Amino acid sequence: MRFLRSRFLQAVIVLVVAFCVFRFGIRPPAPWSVIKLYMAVVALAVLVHISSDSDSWRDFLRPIRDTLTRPERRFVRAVLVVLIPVLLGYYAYSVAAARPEAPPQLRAIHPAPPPSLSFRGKEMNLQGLENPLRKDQASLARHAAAGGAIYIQNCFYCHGDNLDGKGHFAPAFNPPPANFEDPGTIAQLPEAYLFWRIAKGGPGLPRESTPWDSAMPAWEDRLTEEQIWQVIVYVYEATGQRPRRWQEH
Amino acid sequence: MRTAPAIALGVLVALGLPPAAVGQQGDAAAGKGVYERKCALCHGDQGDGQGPGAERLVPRPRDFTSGLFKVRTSANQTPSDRDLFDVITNGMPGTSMPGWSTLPEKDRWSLVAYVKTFAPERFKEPAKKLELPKEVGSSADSIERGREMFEAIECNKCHGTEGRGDGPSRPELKDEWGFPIAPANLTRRWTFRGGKSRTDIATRLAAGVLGTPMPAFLDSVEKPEDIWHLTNYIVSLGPEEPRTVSLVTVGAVSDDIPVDPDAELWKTQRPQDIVLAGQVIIEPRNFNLAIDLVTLRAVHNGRDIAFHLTWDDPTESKAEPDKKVFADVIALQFPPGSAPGEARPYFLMGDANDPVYLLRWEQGKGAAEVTAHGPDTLTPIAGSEVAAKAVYSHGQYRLVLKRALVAKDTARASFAPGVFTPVAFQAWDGGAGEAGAKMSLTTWYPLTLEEPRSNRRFVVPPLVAVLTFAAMVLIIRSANRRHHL
Repeated sequence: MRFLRSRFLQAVIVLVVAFCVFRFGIRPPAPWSVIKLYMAVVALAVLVHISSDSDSWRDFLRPIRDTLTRPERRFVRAVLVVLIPVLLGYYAYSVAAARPEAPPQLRAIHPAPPPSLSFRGKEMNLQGLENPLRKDQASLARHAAAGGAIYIQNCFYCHGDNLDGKGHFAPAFNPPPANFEDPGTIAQLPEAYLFWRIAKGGPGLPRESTPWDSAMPAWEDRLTEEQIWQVIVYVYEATGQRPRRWQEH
Repeated sequence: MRTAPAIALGVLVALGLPPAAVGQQGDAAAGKGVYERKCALCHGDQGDGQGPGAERLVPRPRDFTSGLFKVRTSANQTPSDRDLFDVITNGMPGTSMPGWSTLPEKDRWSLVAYVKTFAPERFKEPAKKLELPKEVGSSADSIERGREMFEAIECNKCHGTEGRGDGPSRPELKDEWGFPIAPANLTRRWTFRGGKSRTDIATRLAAGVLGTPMPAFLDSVEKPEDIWHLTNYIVSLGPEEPRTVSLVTVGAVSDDIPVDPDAELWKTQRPQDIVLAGQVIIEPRNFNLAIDLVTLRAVHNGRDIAFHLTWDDPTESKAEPDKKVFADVIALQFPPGSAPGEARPYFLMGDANDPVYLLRWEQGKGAAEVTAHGPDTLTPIAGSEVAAKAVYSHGQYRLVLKRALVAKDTARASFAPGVFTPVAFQAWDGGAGEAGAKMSLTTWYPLTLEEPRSNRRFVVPPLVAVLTFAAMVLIIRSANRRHHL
């Protein structure tokens, strides 16, 4: 196993193993950009390690120099001189012939809410606003059931029975409907924020959230104040998420 | 070695943990709890398909008290537990029933047990496994034999000559409960209720679909293996999945662009499938849309731009106001002007302040350029220069809309390579009562014009290769010189 002591081979083995772990060992699969970044870090670490003392560095360079100079390696040399330019040329072709991709969407997903809103002529202060239905814990189950009926008649087309944003209308819309199961959505938001989003819908978004793109209706036209609070109770109850609390002052 | 555990871990994760052994005997009492949380809103507390969501759904949620189940692999009317489990797990494509693979497997088996309690009589007789004839692989001969059988056993009466669900019996079809039911569009395998695999299709053909007018055909075909010839024919009718895109691409051509939708050019262009949803923002809301997919092919030649649209519609309808029949309509929507800024008009046909520009085609009237300030405020633009030709055959429209790349004024959209132009799609099936705001639609897509294919891709790569070659020769030379010093 003497060849395993070769610094060059060790470096190659570490790189191959690291690639296999990043590519196949991570579930769900990591995107290529992340794998590239990790591989760059590993390659850098390997270089730092083998160049830490001059013996090791010389040991690492020896097979490379041998391949470049030794007469008996002439064949390997010739193959490399042809293969590497061909591979790079192929890479350049795949970049030059690539089809254009959709431009990235730059929009604020959870924009700052306004301090207050006008709901059917009634001024509501959003800061510190709590869901009034939670005061009466005894009726909460009844409100959740009513919210479920509202949800199934109005919301599930886009947001889905599973509340995962995969309703049967969802593929037609970009931005996609919110996924309430995702810990990054309703679990991060106070209930008053949901009230604002439901009441004012896509057209009520600020400019940085591209209101012209959103297919979310403004539900103040169709649902009463109590119905909106009921459906909010339902989405938290059905997903098992908890609303974010207002910070105590 | 420190990497050894990492490899072992990687291999384990990649292989997946061994599946836990799960009992197939569900617990009906536990299933009741899951049912009430996840199913009752559509299927109803009593399992009668009368939940609060039922009224707006087509097809309606299943009434479990009937004990009739569409998807089964049994020769008798009783579905196997596995059949029920598979439908719960995979959902019913093309309907509002989602797959519940997110529920633990144990819960799904419990649901099977609970759903069976709604129709105990049905399950007294055990399911009898359906034996399919020996499988026949697909071939040109088999597909041709399948096509002959398709006519011989009169599949075309409901499903239409080309399988698009536009057969002459279509208007009369009713399900077991007396509700109108549409025959499957066989060119869209991904909407088949019981799955799109060849075995799924052959099983539906052999055993039929209970509660619907679709009969079992195992005994009506000439020879049992005709089931497989029919399957191969159905599979040949359309792609396995819609060919959806996130970027709409207009290809570059050098010749004149034909307005005839059946011209050769269009067969060479990449189909881009656009999925549409019902408009449910303003009244009248359209929960059960008719046109849920439009296929686009598009080209430009530096002077003109043309859009080739294909969509399925079982009826060709012109406006007949006295009969309350509306015209079939399709529209492509763009922001007016040529320099699309960051802001766009509201995707639902603009609003009072920010209008949109529509390339709109209407059956019986032809194509027009229109300014819209919302779905109910359409103003035709004077001096329309859009050329159009439409063909309707066997439940399908094919249409070409063609106009100049650069518009005469800023009420119209102009197109140029190198910029992303927003585009949205809208469609109306007048025969299904769609008109005005009752439509199907999309939000904005980005659209890009391909540059006429430059020769760059043939010049740059050889240059890279030659330069690399030269650099390597230099390195070898200098290494040898130093070595011999």
